[in-house]
Amino acid sequence: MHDNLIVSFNLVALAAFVAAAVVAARRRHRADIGGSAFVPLVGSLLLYAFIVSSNVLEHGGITASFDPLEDIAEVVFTFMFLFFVNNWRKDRSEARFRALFVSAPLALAEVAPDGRVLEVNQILTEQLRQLFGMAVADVPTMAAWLAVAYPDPAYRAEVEAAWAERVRDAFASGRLIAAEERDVTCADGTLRRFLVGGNPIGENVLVSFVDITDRLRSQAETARLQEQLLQAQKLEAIGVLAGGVAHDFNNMLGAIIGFTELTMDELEVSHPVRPNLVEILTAAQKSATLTRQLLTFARKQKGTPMTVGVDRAVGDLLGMLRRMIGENIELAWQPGAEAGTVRMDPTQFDQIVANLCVNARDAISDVGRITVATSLTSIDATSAAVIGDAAPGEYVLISVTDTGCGMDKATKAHIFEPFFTTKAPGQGTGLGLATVYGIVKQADGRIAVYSEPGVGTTFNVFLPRHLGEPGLVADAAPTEVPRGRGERVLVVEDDPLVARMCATMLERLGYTYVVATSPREALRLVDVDGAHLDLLLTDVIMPEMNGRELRARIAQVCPQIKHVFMSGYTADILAGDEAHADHFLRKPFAIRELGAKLRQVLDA
Amino acid sequence: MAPSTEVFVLVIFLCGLPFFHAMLRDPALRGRRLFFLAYVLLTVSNVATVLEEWWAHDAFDTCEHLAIMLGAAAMLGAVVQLTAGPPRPARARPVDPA
Repeated sequence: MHDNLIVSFNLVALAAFVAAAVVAARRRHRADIGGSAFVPLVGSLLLYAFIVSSNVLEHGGITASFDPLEDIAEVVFTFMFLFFVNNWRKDRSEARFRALFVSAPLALAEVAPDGRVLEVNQILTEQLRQLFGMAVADVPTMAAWLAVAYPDPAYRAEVEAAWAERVRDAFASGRLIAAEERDVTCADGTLRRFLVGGNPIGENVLVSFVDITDRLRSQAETARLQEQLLQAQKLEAIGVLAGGVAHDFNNMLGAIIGFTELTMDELEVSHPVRPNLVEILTAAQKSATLTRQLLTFARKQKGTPMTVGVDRAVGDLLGMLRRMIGENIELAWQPGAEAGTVRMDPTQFDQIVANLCVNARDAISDVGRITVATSLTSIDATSAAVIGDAAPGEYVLISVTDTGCGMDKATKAHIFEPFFTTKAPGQGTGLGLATVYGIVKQADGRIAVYSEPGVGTTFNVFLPRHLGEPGLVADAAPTEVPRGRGERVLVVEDDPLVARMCATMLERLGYTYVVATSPREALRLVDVDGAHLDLLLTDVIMPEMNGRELRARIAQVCPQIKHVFMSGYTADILAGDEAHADHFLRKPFAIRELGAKLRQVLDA
Repeated sequence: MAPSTEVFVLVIFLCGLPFFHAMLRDPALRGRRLFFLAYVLLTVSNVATVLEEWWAHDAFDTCEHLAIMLGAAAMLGAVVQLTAGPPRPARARPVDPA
């Protein structure tokens, strides 16, 4: 009875052990059991199957006991079962680290001491295919890889020697192989920068390849943009400073020019003081030109925007440019912007071309060539970032190229700063390129400079293309001074010196006048005498209120009154309002200009 | 069978116990609890084998073979669990240039 029970237990156990062995064998792929874990597992199960079989035989009375063998089998089972679990863990750990190697986000290769490439991971396989058009089998050794990546034998020898030395050092010191940047030649001939390093693994070497080309490109781009931003900020700050000074200086020059002219008018032509006054007038007018350039740089000189046909405007300038640059320098004109028009003050456009040509002329020491070219171009989002963050769109490109001495990087960084010049003292104001910069920025354009010392320089001016018919340039100033017919003018000017000068000029021109040194005083005068006023001659920038606002207030009381604005710059108050362009007089002005403007407005 | 041999086998099983306990802690090994239970039951059968030499031979003998049977069942369950479910996702295979 007892034996029957034991036999039954053992038969069940036998069936279970055999079934477990069969299941393990049939489904091993599901458990992903490698040979090192599978064999001890099935072995241990079959060993126990043997033990229980022995029990069946013993208790069934069929044969003698296998006791000694059973004990040995049980001991072997213990070890075999331990092997199973241990090997399963080892297999799993190895598989995990192998997966890390294979799918690491870094190009890796394991290289044997004799240079054989033992394994490469997925990223490196991809890079080999994409950059070099090769399969892994095409580079079985490091030597084969070096031959592909470094086609220049001299450079290859240098790389090979440096690598061998670094590997030796790493093995000797037990540290990582120092990473080194190398230019690798791709299948299409382009160079890419790789950071090649590694780590000794046993007797082999794990080599890592990091493609840093894009990162370096991006860093260079960031540095370039930062430099550009700093440059723009610096020029902006200088512009604000220069603009402020120039405005006040302009007022003083206005008084100097005005009073000099008035004094000259009172003197006879043969008066001995007259030549001195002419010198004063000439110097003051030159100073006025300088301040005007400064104001242009500061973008406070809006001018009168018109539609300018670029090719025609440059063509009209050629005669003057040829005279300006001299005979030993060839001037080549390559029009290519047919029907290309821009919207800006035509005088300022001429100033851009003339200043760039003067700059080019001064860069050529003896004989050379200046090429002025135009073309139509469109700037997309990508190229916009390169050309000083220009807005994407259609542009007219004006290029001025010279074969002069060129510039180094340090000079290039300062060329648009006012008063920066490489010329000898007294030979240049340093305002030419600053003025160009100011005009271009004011016109929402961009300017790019390419220069190589000893080769030459190209200035590329991008001006937004404007679709419209080219306008006509304003008529030249009349030769005779138009005079007043006793009309009454209200002069509003916060600078007493300029106010006094205006009054004197008006008197000389045959006008009657009243002077107010503030807008409030002007409004009071209008309340008293408004009905008799014919014209308001007012400054634009004043405390309390600006000229435009004052004119609007006065127009409510005296709708018949006409107006002329005068200013060193129009700032933003009159910007873009063409209705005011005909009523604008730029300071400093001569008596002739004042007379002409007043007559033009009063007769309109 | 000499009791000393059975004691020796029991000692071997008992020595293996902490090793199995430590190694079977990895949760990634499916059926690890049943594997451990099977090993414990086989160890229990060895304890019964030793004891049956001195006391209550039939009772401990029955206990020994009952433990073996339960251990076998646990082993079968562990193997079924180990190999259950869909095949595991294939491991990333490294590229061998050879």
